Amino acid sequence: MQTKMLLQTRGLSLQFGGLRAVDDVTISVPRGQIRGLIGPNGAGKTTLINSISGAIQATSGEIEFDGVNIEKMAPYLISALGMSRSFQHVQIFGDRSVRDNVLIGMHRQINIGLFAQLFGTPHARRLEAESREKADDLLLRFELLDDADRPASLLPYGMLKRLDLARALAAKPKLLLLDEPTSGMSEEEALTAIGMLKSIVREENMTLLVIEHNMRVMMQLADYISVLHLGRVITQGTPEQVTQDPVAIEAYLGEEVTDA
Amino acid sequence: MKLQNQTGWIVVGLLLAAGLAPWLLPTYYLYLLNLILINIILALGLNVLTGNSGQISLCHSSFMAIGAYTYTLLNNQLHWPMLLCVLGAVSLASLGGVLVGYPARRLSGIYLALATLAFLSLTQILIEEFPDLTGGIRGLKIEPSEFLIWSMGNETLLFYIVAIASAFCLYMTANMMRSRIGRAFDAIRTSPHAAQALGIQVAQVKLIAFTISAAYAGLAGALFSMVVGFIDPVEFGVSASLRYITFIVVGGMGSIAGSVIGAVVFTGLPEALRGIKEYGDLVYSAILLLSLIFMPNGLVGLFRARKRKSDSSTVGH
Repeated sequence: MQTKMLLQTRGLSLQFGGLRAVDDVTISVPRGQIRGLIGPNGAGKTTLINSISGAIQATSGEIEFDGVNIEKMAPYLISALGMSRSFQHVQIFGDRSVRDNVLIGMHRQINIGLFAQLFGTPHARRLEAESREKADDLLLRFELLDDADRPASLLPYGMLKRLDLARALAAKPKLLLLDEPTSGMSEEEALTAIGMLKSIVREENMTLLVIEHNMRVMMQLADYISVLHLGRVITQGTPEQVTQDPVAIEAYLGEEVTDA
Repeated sequence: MKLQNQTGWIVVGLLLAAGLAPWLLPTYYLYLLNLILINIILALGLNVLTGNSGQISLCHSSFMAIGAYTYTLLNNQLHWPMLLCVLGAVSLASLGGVLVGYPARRLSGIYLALATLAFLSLTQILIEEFPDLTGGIRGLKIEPSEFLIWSMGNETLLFYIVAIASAFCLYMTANMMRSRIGRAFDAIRTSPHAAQALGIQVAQVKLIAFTISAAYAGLAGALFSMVVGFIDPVEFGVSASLRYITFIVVGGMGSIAGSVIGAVVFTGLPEALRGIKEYGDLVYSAILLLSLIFMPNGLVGLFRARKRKSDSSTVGH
């Protein structure tokens, strides 16, 4: 197995007072893989993602992303290396339009000098128009184009979740961290959204680390799954292997496997 | 298309009105109009900082003071041409913005309010402690100068300068809000976490907001000294800072129209209330309180809510 790893954590731990939310986690995600992260509530999935994205600093251990050690870096720097994320509870920029939200996701790619923006030079206008086109392409794929000019705060929840996905994808990241991208969606909405997501991820050869509770969605999406329990990785494998694994079943899957 | 046409007519109408104003309006009203336009510049700048980026500032009157004193001193002592004096005023005020913005990158809410208040006290003390330069509490008179071939005392010329500066600021602010930096301003206010994760350098964006905002205030200060002809340190105290916050809160936070409306209403109102003297302040405060209670999103919010209602009845969502 000489696949180049895009993301590697080594002995990553995060302590909140007496609680070890993440405990000695070592995972390796190869380029182009869609890696699922499952586990019961409080297993440390979101905390793990938060520490990878730099939102919370890990207590000990290493995180290597694309050959760079990032465990001490500020989130915007990590983002500049090509990592993007969505949030469990949607954090949308509500008073901005749907299109602007995607454009904010493209912040790093839009390179216009400050004065050019202020004075509205032709160059700045052209670049801005090009970015709008790119944003609209993405909105079209996520079936949000009709609402591009509405304030994002007016969207219903399911659409907000899709917008969150589109915004995270807009940065064209190498690695995308998704925290329950389909929570609150109906089964049908979730499967459609996941279909769109998967096609873009494969086209752009992105790598994905995704937390998802809906096992049906996870089975469709993930190439490989890590199971977290009490802050530790207790088992990992392909979706088929994990759903058969007695350790995983005991910790998390329980009866859900039978109807999955 | 229809909307563009409409905007075009509004612009043409405003240009025409501005072109004619100095020939039609009596001196006092022209002076009042100047003050309104200057306050619009100030409100636009403050709104970028507070309404869009979510940073409070109690020292905007200090930035204005820096602009006013710099303009006056460059004019009186060095006899620089008008445009260079204005440029100097704007630059030095921006530098003040950087000075406050640098520590403010890590502060927010009440701590930021206190830090900016400290800066305000500092500038007040500096003005009072160097009377040889600033005239101290007695203030400073602006010496007459020329712009090209006209005297700066010429009312018509003054009005055109102020109106052009104000229009320029409106244009710049509109550009700003439509571009990358304006989106980043709103993003760091609404959700700093999401903004950071999307690659926005929150601390840097805050610093830029402070700098730009202070530059607007500096320009307003320079224009103020031109129009009034005399600067009095009392004009740049904490009550002035609070008045500017009133402009944007009542007008509408984070909205260009809000800045304009707020500046128009609250510059005109005290003048209109002059007739009832001692009750003027009372009425002013009552209007402020009532608008905070009944229009939490400002006058602009009121208009938007109505528009949204009519929109949603036509769109099938």
